[in-house]
Amino acid sequence: MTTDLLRVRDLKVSFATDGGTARVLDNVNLTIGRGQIVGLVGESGCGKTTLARSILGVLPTNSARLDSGSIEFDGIDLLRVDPDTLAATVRGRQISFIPQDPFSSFNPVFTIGAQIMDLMKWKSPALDDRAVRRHGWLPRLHGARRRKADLARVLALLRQVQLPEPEEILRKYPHEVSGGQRQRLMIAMALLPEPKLIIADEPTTALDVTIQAQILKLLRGLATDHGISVLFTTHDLGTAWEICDSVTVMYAGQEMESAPGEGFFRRPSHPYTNRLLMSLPSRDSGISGIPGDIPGLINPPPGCRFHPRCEFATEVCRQDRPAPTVVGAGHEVRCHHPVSEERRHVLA
Amino acid sequence: METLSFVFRKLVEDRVALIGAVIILLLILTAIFAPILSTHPEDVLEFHPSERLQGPSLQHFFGTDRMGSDVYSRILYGARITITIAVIAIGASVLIGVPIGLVAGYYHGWASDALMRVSDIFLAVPQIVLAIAIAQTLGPSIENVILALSATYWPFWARLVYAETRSVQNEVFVEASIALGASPARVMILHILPNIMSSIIVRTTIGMGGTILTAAALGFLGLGAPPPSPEWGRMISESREFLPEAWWYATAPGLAIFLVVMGFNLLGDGLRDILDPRIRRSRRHDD
Amino acid sequence: MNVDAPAAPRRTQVNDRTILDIRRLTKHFAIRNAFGWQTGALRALDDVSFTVDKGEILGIVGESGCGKSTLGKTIMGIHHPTSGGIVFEGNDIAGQAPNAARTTRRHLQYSYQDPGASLDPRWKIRRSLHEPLVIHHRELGFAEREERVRAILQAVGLPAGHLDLYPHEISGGQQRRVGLARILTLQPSLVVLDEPTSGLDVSVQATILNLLLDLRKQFDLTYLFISHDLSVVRMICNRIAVMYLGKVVEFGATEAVFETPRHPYTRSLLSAIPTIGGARVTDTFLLEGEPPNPGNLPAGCRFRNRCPLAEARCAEAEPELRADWPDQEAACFLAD
Repeated sequence: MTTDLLRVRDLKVSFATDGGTARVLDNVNLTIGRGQIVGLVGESGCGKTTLARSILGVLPTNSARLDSGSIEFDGIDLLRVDPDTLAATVRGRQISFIPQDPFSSFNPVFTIGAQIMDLMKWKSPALDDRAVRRHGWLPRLHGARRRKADLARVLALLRQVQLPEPEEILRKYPHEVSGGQRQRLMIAMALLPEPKLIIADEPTTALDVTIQAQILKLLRGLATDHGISVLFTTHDLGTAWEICDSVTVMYAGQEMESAPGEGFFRRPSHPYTNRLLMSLPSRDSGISGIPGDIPGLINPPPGCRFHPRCEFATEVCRQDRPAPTVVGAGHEVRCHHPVSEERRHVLA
Repeated sequence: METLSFVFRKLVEDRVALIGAVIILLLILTAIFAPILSTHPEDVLEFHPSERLQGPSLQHFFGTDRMGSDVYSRILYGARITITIAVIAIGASVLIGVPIGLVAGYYHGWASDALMRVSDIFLAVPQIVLAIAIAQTLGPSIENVILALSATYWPFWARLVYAETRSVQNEVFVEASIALGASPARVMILHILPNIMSSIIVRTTIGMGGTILTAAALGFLGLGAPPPSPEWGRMISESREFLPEAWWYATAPGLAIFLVVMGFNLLGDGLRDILDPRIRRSRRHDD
Repeated sequence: MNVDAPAAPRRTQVNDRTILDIRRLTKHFAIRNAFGWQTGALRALDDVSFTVDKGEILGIVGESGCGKSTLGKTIMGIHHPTSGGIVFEGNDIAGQAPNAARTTRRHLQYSYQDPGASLDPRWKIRRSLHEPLVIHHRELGFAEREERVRAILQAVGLPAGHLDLYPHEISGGQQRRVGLARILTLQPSLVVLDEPTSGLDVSVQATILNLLLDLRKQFDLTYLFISHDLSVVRMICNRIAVMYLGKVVEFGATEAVFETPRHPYTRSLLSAIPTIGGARVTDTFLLEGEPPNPGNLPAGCRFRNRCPLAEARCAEAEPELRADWPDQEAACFLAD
């Protein structure tokens, strides 16, 4: 029995594409503890968004296939629960979502207030599971007293995300507020059902750096205050450094290393993590990248998918995907030749 | 990309569109090979009053009309008229409407607005009414039918192209060409036009169906080619006084019109599904 | 700084190496109501002045709405300036559409944030690469154009076989290179790079930056590097201009600005960048609120509503850039 909130074990997902079957996730493991902010870091094509979507249960049904594995959330295996129950009880209630692009998540022809209040009708924490399922598709009728309570809660939430003049904002349309404000609104809507886990998919990538700093600060504060776990996907190591308690790095559909924040950045053990840290722009080092290209996922490299670009690769790397090895407290790496101390990138 | 082979392949996969394509193919073949396929080719011009209004039989698949001519053969020859009217009318509409739409869409100013208002005016005139007016003034003939159709149909293309031009205009590659120093003519003809071609093709195909229907209606009203031209609409009109006994007389041309219009609509729908870029995103992977 | 830098001259000093001279460039966009009447102006650029020397890389940085993209496009002639001058290679090109001033503009080129999107999806790459030469050098035949195109393709590291492909048949990174190649066919002297590394993975960023530096050396180019990514700008630019709401608020040698930012906005901006291994931004960052609506700017200094140092006089007049430091200028009454 563990206190972990979410455990993904050996998850394998593939997509049908024009060119063949893309093996997007290859036996991926991920653990999220209660009240932990976990960063999922990786470059394009690494599978972080697919992993987030798998947990939410919103993979495209016609092309995506869950080949094997389990996703255990608070004791329930999400992959064995029927989709309707999942939609009613878990998604948007116990697990909520903050998307990368806040603008396209809003319906442009309704006011923000209308959309948030509508959300309260369906996803308010005051509702129990049975009520939600029973009235699943009927338009919900609300008494005035209930509406007032909902409104009060919505305003409280908007104040929590530090939006100025919340009553005014409710009257506005999505295009009338700025990107930073929209993202705060998304955070408010994610907090609305009092979830246990928030999945934030690159929530600050589209924002200016000063707004990003504000949003990251807000997110970290809220998660800590409410004891909510956050799964934070990003391709920017800097944001991972800012707020993540633990970081997992993925490459081409495989997770490579998983460590608590300090350990990940100061004692990277996987060659890919090491190279990533080295290629960050910094004053002292030159501009260096990682030679080679990210592999396609239809015919990915066998074994460890990073081996074609890895300077330490040997035959065994080509044959077997390494199993997780523990190299420190909460620090696991999947590599046959973890980086030794001398070769580690040192942070400035 | 929409190379011919790609479109062809996808078309074959879509059953419904395939039916449409087959019908159109049959129409074209019929028109070309009418002399060979028809049993009584001479009946286009001759009449045999002694054989009038006979029911369908092995000699006359669709019976005979009021002049004793073989309905089946006249229908086959009528296909030629149908195609001629459709192709020329649509062709003229496209040749007038597309350039107007391009120029009006590319430039922003009172001239563009004026052009669009003119096209609005033409759109407001019902085709039938205009055709009647032209026929009254100039006399009934196929040429006048084509004239009436073109005069009222070109605004559809003008508006479509105008809207599409306005939207493609904002694409990065158009702006990049302008930044490189491309002249407006170059941008319009070489960049914008190819990128809106698929909409034009789809609209043209679907428009064919509508045009044929309207042409048949005009023929029905007696505004098309004078007798004994085997125009389908006219044949239906002639059959009126002999209904309901001589049911084959109206049914055959009616069926022909129905099939051809259906064919174009199905083909047009299928083409739209294939060519609409929103339905078919081309795949790119970033490195 | 690992880019060899020519000595940093003053901001608006024209010398014999000056290739671009921006003089009080202003661009206002009209805000119109439903009837088409102008109800206000969006002041996208206000009184921007600086010079660019041959061979240097000048960075234009700022967040969204600061006007950096508008600056690039106005220089290119995609927008007409409301007032002010743009002198390129000695010719005044302000307000001229690109095809009107073809000869004078030939050596001034623009690279889009996503250069792949600048390729017509229905044209083969060969045709897209020939196009600039067809437009500007009618005298060249197909064979001569082909020769030049192949040479450039090689310079950007792409195989000649790509000429027969369509843009969607090659990867995003390769599309970028083709986009750059297209610009280089005209042998430009100044290239405006609009967000060249935006959205790229970190490892790919490095490749593109190295490519840009190589090309600069090979083709003797000058860059105007527009970007919101300060870490990248720091690595590659000789001098930088920091923009906020249409004005240049700080200007100077890159290292000077990064080491000792003078303007409060620059300080906030730099402090917002996460530094791995350093203090957490989320602990120290102080800037509140968001930039005001650019159609409705406050009187006086545009930053005063968010500025931690704001005083009464900041509302009375707009500060001008003052060159009170050896390699830097800042537009603030209170900067020290």
